[in-house]
Amino acid sequence: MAETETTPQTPQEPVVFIIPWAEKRKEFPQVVANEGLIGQTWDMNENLIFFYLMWLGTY
Amino acid sequence: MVKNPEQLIQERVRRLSTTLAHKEPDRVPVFWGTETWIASNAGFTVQEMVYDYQKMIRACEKVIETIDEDGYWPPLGIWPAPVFDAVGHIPYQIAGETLDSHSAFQWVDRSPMAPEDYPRFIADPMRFIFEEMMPKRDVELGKPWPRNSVALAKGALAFGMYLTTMGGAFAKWAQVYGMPVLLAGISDPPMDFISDHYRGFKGMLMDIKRRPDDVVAACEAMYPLALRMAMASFGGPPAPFPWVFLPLHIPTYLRPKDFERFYWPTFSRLVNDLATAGYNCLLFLENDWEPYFPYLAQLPKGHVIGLFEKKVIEAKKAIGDTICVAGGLGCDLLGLGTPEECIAQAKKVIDACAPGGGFILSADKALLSPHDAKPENLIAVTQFVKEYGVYHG
Repeated sequence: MAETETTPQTPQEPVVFIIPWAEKRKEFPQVVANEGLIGQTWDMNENLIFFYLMWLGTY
Repeated sequence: MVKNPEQLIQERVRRLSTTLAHKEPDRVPVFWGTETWIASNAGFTVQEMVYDYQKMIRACEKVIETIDEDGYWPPLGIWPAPVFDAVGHIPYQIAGETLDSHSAFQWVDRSPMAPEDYPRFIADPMRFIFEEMMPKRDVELGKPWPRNSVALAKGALAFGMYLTTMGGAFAKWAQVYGMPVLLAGISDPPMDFISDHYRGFKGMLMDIKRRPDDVVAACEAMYPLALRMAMASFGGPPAPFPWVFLPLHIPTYLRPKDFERFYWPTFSRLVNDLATAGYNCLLFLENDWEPYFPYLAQLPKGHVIGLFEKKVIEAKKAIGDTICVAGGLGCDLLGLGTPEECIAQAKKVIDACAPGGGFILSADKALLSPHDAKPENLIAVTQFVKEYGVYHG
């Protein structure tokens, strides 16, 4: 019988990404995102893609 | 007795929904459309807020904590600047870039779509918008692959993070403050989409003279996208609350007979189809809508709130049986007047509009600049409405 391998659940330090959006905006150039936020954003359903594209295309 | 957040949110939503149904709730509801005004109220610049959503959320919460409205108008006019940066967006001018850091967004009237483009727009508006308009309106999207794809992906990530962050804030406001968010979902009537974003205001006013059939056909072609935009941006299954926000721009620059031909067919269909699907709409009615009251009276009763910039009392009298009327306090008075003067105006409007329900006291438009309202005026009028606006039926 094969051994079932489990991945131990160890608490991780949250990783913070600093994304420099625009060099020209020296004072407020950064959006701080964490893994959770990116994870929630990653799966864009069809409605959200449509909303995003229409929002860009119209507003 | 101190009410818990769950009781408060039920009470507030019931108050708003009852008056939308043209019945008298316990008292007149009150809300203020606090948009970029919230920045100065919290000691931030608009530039800070459009990049740092936590500052925007703190600014919103200062309003919620100090003014105590019946519903919170979410900051729909505070667009996430990182999305615009990612794609190199041209149409909007953003605070801190070409504008003062305290300024609301500004919009420059442009015509990226030429009059000769109408046939291609009408044939396939989605393809035309995505493939022809977006590269003209967003510098990075006009660059060759893979730069354009990378820009689109960066923008999508930024857009998703903005929605996720604000969605979390909305949930917190309900749980902590018992404060419902008034609006979810946004769209424009088709003629406003085309005029605001592709042909420009001047272009559209010429088109209705020179290419009237093209304008009618373009509005029809745009209609399915406008309806889907409202539903997709709502962010969940259809519900009567929150309301879908429809800002209306060009109608009052049209003669009523042009309004009837070009604007009304797809606008009224949009509102009717949303109502049939289970949504209610808040229309922002800029300028003087009195010449168009007979049209508004044909919209579905119990499904539409009209935020009137002008002639609120006339609107309640003429079409108050159909439209739930909101408004009454001008930004000039809220920004320059005293609390006593603002309360006197609130009393006058409540006396005229409150009987029978179907009335919400609010500012006559969204509050954008620091001078659009003194905080003490908003607090004083809100408190006054809670005491004076009680129904005794």
